[in-house]
Amino acid sequence: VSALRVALVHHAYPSEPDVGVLARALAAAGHEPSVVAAGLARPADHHVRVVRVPHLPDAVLRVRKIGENLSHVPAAAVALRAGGFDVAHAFSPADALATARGSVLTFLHAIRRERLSDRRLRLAVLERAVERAGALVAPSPEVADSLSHWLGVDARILAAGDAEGHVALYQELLSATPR
Amino acid sequence: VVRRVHVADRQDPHWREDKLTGVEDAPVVSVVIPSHARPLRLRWLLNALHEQTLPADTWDVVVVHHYEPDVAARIFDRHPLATEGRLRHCSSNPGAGCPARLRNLGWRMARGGLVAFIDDDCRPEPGWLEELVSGAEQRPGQIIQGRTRPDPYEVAIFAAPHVRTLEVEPPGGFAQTCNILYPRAVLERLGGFDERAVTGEDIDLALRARSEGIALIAAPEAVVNHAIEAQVLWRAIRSNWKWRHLAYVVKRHPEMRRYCRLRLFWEPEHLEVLLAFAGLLGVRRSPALALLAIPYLRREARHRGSRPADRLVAVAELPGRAVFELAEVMTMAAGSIEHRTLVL
Repeated sequence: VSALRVALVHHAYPSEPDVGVLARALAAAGHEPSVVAAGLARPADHHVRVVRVPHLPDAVLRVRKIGENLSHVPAAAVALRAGGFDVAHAFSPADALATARGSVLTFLHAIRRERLSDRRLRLAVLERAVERAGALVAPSPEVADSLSHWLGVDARILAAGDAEGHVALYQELLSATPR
Repeated sequence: VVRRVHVADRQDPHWREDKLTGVEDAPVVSVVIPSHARPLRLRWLLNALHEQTLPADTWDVVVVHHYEPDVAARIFDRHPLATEGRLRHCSSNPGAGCPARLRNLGWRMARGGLVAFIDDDCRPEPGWLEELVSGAEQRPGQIIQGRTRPDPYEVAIFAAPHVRTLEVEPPGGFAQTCNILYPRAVLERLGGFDERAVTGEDIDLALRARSEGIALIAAPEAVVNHAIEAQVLWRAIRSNWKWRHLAYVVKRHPEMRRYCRLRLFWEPEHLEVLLAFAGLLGVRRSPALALLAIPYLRREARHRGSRPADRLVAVAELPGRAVFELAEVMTMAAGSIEHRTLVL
């Protein structure tokens, strides 16, 4: 398997450890992961290449209950297009808006009904992200069960450190998608 | 187990398929759900139904929908209600009918002696069905209406200038089908919903039932949470366009005019926004005409609350809300022309 250039998109990296774990595992397996994250530079993780993208002011989105973690999406989409990545892998429905159709979407946490439609754009973002995703990933059976229960979709269970499993999934998607 | 069934409406040229995962004994109550363009919310509704406290062997579910086979498979095939044999569903061509038609298909497929109607944008509380059935046992032969409230999970969405939701304190004169139970015998006797009524078919059915001496009984403990959906202005106006057909129901049931301001205006806001608009047009000729706008402006200034920040938001939303309400009046006017009875 030739080295893959993988973009891992998460608005709040490094707040979710799984993103960094996967990035390091992919790097150790000889691939070239980059984390596309929102905001200003944070303390460097020397094992992970991080592409910081600006985000727009989002006070209005939060105060008017429109949505959360959406303000980085335009810049992240530009960074993904410019980056020449083989695969884009988002870690939340909002992050998935920045990726192209057929990308990977991981749900890091189990879905709860009370959070599915508690913002004006939440349901629309969720529906769009799931409909466009090439593959859904859950880090545990519990998360996969919640996706099946609330969304009626199947997710592949892959632990964050499972570089081999993720690479196999990326290859599967790449072989199915004309480049 | 999935097997095909035959229903009275299979002659419908748009009928595509129907499926049954069947229990052998007829249930006490069947829940009928029409669904269109809300696959995820329908799934959530089915999940809420699966948590009902009414014993599982006494009820089943019938869904009549407009979904393509792959979407239907995702919603239904592995849902616990289907695997337990308590869910039947059938698809109908999207162009083939209004909600009244879907509901008629649904209750005619139902096998329960009682038929509970709920909408696909609702989430019943666990005791919902038990309370409705309890009401029906106490008042046999009558219509039982539960309480509908905006979903507490979604109240943040009220921050949007244009929202769509529903609140019903039973017994409400409009007998909305988002939370109501009919004895099947009553539906058969009345011939079900009037499929010529594109909207307001639930009001029409309840009024026909009342004319036959059937009462609408309140079951306030049977609680359904209704979705709160934010809409942008043009979409809100477009989705309200169907309400022009309310004029058809008003024409059939002139007694509905008692719900209208001056027996003419369906909503009080419609009268007020028209007065405000007239005042705005005439203010150059006579400044005093500006006073006509006061009732509308007073209402609008308060709709967010009394704090200064609320008033500011209300003022910012005023133009969009005025356009929306004027569009509603135009919608009703179009319906009045189409159905030849004046209701605004």
